[in-house]
Amino acid sequence: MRKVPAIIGVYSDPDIMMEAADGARKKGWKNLDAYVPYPLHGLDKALGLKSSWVPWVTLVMGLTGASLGFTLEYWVHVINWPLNIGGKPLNSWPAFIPIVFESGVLIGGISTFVAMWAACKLPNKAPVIHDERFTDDKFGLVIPLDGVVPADAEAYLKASGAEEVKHV
Amino acid sequence: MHATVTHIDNPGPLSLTKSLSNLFMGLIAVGALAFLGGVVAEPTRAWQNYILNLYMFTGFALGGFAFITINRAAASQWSIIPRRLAEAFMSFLPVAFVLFLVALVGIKMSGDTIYSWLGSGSGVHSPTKVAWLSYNMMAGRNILFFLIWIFLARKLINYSVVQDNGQASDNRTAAARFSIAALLLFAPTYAFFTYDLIMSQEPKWFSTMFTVYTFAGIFQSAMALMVIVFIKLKNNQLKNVATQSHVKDMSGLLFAFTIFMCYVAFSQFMLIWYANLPEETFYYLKRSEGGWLMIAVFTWTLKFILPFFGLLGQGQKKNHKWLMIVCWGVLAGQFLDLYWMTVPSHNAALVPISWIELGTLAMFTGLFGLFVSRWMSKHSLIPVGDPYVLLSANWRFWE
Repeated sequence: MRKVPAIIGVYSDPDIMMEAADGARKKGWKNLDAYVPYPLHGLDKALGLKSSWVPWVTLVMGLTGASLGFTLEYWVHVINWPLNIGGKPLNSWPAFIPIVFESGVLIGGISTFVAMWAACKLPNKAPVIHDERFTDDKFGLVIPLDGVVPADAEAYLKASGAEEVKHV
Repeated sequence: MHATVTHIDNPGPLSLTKSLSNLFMGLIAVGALAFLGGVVAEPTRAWQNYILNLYMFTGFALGGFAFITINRAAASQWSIIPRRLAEAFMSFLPVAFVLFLVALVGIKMSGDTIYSWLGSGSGVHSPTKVAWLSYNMMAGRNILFFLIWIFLARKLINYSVVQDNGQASDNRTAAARFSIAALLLFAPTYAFFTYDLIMSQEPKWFSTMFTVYTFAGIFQSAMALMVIVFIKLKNNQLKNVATQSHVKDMSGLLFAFTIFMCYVAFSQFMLIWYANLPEETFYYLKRSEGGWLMIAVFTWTLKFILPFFGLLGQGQKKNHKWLMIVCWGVLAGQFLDLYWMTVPSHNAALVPISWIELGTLAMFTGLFGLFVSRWMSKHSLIPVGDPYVLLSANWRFWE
């Protein structure tokens, strides 16, 4: 979990929280975070989150898997155990394509799964729960007190419509 | 964050500039001259190109038709604002019908040089095909197909246009039901239209996957053209209602059909390659010899490699300049693909694209552009009266 102390505003309306997050980002406050009970479209933009690096893992590992699949088939059919099948050439690439596709999907999929765990820092044995209501019907906006004056952040959250403000 | 749109000003019909309509007129004039010159000099080649272009541009109209009916049937809301553009494409169908009647004259004139089955039956290896592949039968059923499409298109356009004057009655359920019926009618009519116009140029060859492949092609190219026009409109008259999410979703459909097209093309090719039956493989053999392989490589670069890797990321689907490159590439690929499917039937060696090809393409581009833009200048650019148009204007999932 984060090392710096933070301040959390508790909201009951997701739209108001999104507006508050947008305003906080425009103030130049960094590393904003939010706890919400369900996915909110547009929240990543409001918090100023960058695109995830996970798709790049999928792309690179998918292409790697595809070329590994082709290498395997080429090695088996051309180098290690050449067999004449129906008079076709040894390197019968059209017949290899389905396997190339499948191995690309397999390696790409598994790598994405692993990368996703890494990106979410899972498994997390001691999750910090700031407020149980964030899993139910409340929305929390986290402002790390990293170069931010606590009184400023508190005043801002209250002014933006937070029902309560917590220090964590 | 974004402000929610609560009111839409009617952007009105397309303000068609004189220079644009002059450009289309010029294309028609130059193209028609080149085409007529071609009819005199090399009639078979000219008419073959005419049929190819007729198919490609009817394909844009039918792609618009598919876009509307699929979205209507799924009751999708994001598609309401771009829908009018697809309706404009669809309005080309009556013109395409007239152009098809001209093509019938050309087919009659060119004897058995384009469709070898028109000769004394020598081109057909199966006696059961003789009745089916005869001039009158072919002309009759395709005229019927066009009439069906024109009827369906008129009705679909009417569902949308009738709301424009502000009497916003919600006809979504009726339109959805009609669209489902229209799709069911579209599938066989489109399939036989393609068998007749394109596949029967090689009458001894058969593939049941063929029309699935060509449909993926026309839908892909229609989406590419829609993205191009929509971006132009978004920068001008639709500035306040068209969103990045519309662009992104249409290019998403283009991307999806790129994959589908490749999948179908490959499954058609691989089974024929693997079974290795002479009555099937000759199609691909003809098209990979005598320089034709080069066209195939170009086609696949433009139609698959470019849009697949070019639209894989989310950011790429929002970059207008990049989208223009990809979409024009797909359109060029569609032309080359049809060229590769039809011209090798009668030419063992590569026929380089020259003034007849470019002229006929210019003529059809002009005709399509002129009639579609005229239609757009007579109807509002978005379905302003649709009760859900605000929802579509607020479609900002991906921003």
